[in-house]
Order: sequence, then structure tokens, then C-alpha cells
Amino acid sequence: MSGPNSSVDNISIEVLLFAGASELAGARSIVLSLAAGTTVAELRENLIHQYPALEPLATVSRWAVGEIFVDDTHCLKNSDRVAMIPPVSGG
Amino acid sequence: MIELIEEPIDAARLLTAVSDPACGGQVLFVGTTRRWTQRDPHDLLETEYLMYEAYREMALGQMRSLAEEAAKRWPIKKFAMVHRLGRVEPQEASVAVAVSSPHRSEAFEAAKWLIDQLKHEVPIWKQEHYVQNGTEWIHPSSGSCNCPTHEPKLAANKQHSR
Repeated sequence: MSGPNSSVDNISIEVLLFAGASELAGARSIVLSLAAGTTVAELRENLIHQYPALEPLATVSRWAVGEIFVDDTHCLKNSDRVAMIPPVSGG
Repeated sequence: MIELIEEPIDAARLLTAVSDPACGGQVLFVGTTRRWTQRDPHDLLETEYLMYEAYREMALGQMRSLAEEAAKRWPIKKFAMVHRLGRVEPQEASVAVAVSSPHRSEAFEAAKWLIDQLKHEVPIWKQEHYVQNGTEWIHPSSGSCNCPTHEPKLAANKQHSR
């Protein structure tokens, strides 16, 4: 991680919020600037750090990138749109 | 037919959509909104109306994937899934699923599987607007549903507002 390009590389991630999560954060989406190589688990920690009110829902939510569910180890890329999917209640 | 709509669901339209000359059975499930929610013996809540919200693009994609999966598991000829968004009054249909197949048993099985999966997987949420107690987004804790794959449990992980 000492190369000339890696130390300052940050990626911009838009996090989409729905239902109770949107209400708790007071926003429909949040843009985060994160270190390159950030995983979904790290994004969740970062989000909770910046929006502590989201913690109860963030810890039980699933995450989707490009409308596909991903797991905690999924590596994020610049300009990814990540959706926080709190427990669903359709039907 | 896979749709998210803001108008009342016309169940007859789903039956028309799954009509097929090779099929001897159509099963239609219609989920309707309850006016009363019994959270515990001393807490009966009355719903004035519900608001449904979806992550639209993903919800439609998930509904399509579920239909494709169902078509692999059962000999379904046609299917229809429609979910309501926006304001829904008590007693109105919030969701409808219809399938047709050559014989009835697989139509029943596929329709049940589809509605159970829809309720677990598709990013749609409802917000209760209670007569007396403000509003509440519903985010069930795992296992709080009544489907056969989970233990029935009354407590839901809900979050209050107002």
C-alpha cells in the first residue's frame, strides 16, 4: 500500500437508504468517501460511525450492489451504488 | 406479468395474464391489509392506512428471479406477480400472485412458494399509519413470519416515530 497511487486513492460510494433507515438518517441517500478496497463490512462500520442512529437497522440489514445482494466481504469500487436493505415487510 | 403499481390491484387481470390452453389449474393468492394488529394481549393497534415503499429496480429484478426459479422447480406455464406501492387502505389488496400449470397441485405449491419468497426477499417495506399512535416502519426480526421455514414469533423488531 506504499505505491504513489494507492495512498491517496479514495472511492466515492453512494449508499441508498429506504424505509426506517431513510427516516433514521433523514436522507434518501448518503455519499461516503472511503479508502480504495473498502469492503461492505467496513462501509457498514463507517456508516454507523457517521450516523449512529442507523446502528440497530444497519446491523440486521442486507446489502446490495448494483441491485444484487452481496456479502460482508464484497469489495467496493469507485462509484458503486450500495443499497442498505433493512428487513423487508412487503406483502 | 411483474408489476409494482400505485392503483388498486385487479385480481381478474392476473388470472387473464396466466390463462393458458395447456393448463388445467390456476392459483391466485391475494394478500390484503389488516385493520387490526394484535401485538400482545393488551396492545391492539388499529391501522388507518399503510404506505408501501420499494427499491423499485431491485424489487422488480428480484420478482423476475423468483419467477424464473419457480419455473425451474415446477412446470409453470405462466405467472403474474403484482405488488402495490404508496397508500393502501385496510382490506385492500397489497399483493397478488397467480400461476398456471397443467395440474393443480404444482400450481398451489408454486404460488405458495412465490408469495413466501416475495415476503422474505423482495425489497419492499410497509409503514403503518395507526389511528392513535403515529407511524411505524415495519422491519421484522428474522423468524417473525408465519411461513413454514420459520418459527412463528410475535415480537417484531420495530422502530417508532412521532
